[in-house]
Amino acid sequence: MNIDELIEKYYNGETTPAEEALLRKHFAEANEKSPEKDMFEFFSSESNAFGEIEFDESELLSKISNTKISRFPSFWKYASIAAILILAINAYIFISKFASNDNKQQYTSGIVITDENIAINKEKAALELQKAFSHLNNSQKIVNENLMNLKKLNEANNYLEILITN
Amino acid sequence: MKVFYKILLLLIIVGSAVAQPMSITSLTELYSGKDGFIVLNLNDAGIVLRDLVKNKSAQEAIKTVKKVTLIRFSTEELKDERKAEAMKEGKNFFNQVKNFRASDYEEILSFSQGSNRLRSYYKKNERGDNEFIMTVTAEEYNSLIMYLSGSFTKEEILEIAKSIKF
Repeated sequence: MNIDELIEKYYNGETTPAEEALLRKHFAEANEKSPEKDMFEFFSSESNAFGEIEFDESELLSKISNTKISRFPSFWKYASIAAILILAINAYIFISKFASNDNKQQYTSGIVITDENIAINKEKAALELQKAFSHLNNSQKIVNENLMNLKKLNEANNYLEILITN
Repeated sequence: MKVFYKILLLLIIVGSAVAQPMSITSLTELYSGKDGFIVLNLNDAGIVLRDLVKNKSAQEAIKTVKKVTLIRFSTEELKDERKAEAMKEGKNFFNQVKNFRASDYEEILSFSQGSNRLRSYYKKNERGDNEFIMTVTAEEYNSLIMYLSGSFTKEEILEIAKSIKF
């Protein structure tokens, strides 16, 4: 098989690795310029370039093993921790509020405040006394106002009597 | 015939004893721990009262109050399913408070406006202490009775009521 037939076979993609090696050798040794020569020289130079790259396999492996694999970028990691904390705090506030409401419900149902438990019930006791004294204060105010009005009415009546008698 | 009179006399004595308005102590025992009732029974009322008054003269008046007993009924803070049951006892208490008369006390302030009624009584007891009783009845069987004892005067009680922080 001559070189032209091999080239045609190469372009048809039918050449074997041995035939391609033969073509590379032919064009490497050929003196005259041709597109095929340029092509094979280019392939050959590129192939040599890759062949020149040397690396230390063990060094590469150690680099790979020492590299920390992070599932999340650090920002998202911290953001997710913050979100969990906020949720936990909110949940705690909600539950404690709910529990305190429930306690308050039981607290006002039949509560007895004495000297023994005043320390924990002082606020409630204060509220009860406040309410009781507010009744007294309001009543006293209204009674005083009524008395004032009555006094004014008496004074007006007396004045009217004086006017009539004169 | 003598036996008949003896039985009749006994019945009158027992009947009159039953017809007496209930004492605050017995009311306390009767309603302590029941739904809708708040019972306050302190031998040192100053612990709570001293934080409630604004001015100096009232602060001085507070020191004269020793014992406080307060019973209040209200369904406003009760769960709906407990209201109906609590209301039965509440109605009894309301009627007892409404009909409460401290016969050997001086009635110092009485006030009535719509369904709101307030009565207050004052006396010096045999031990030399002064006693103050206040009853309040209002709408929906809201009612309270408050008893204070100490070395206070009538004016000091009214001064405390006037100075309570609201």
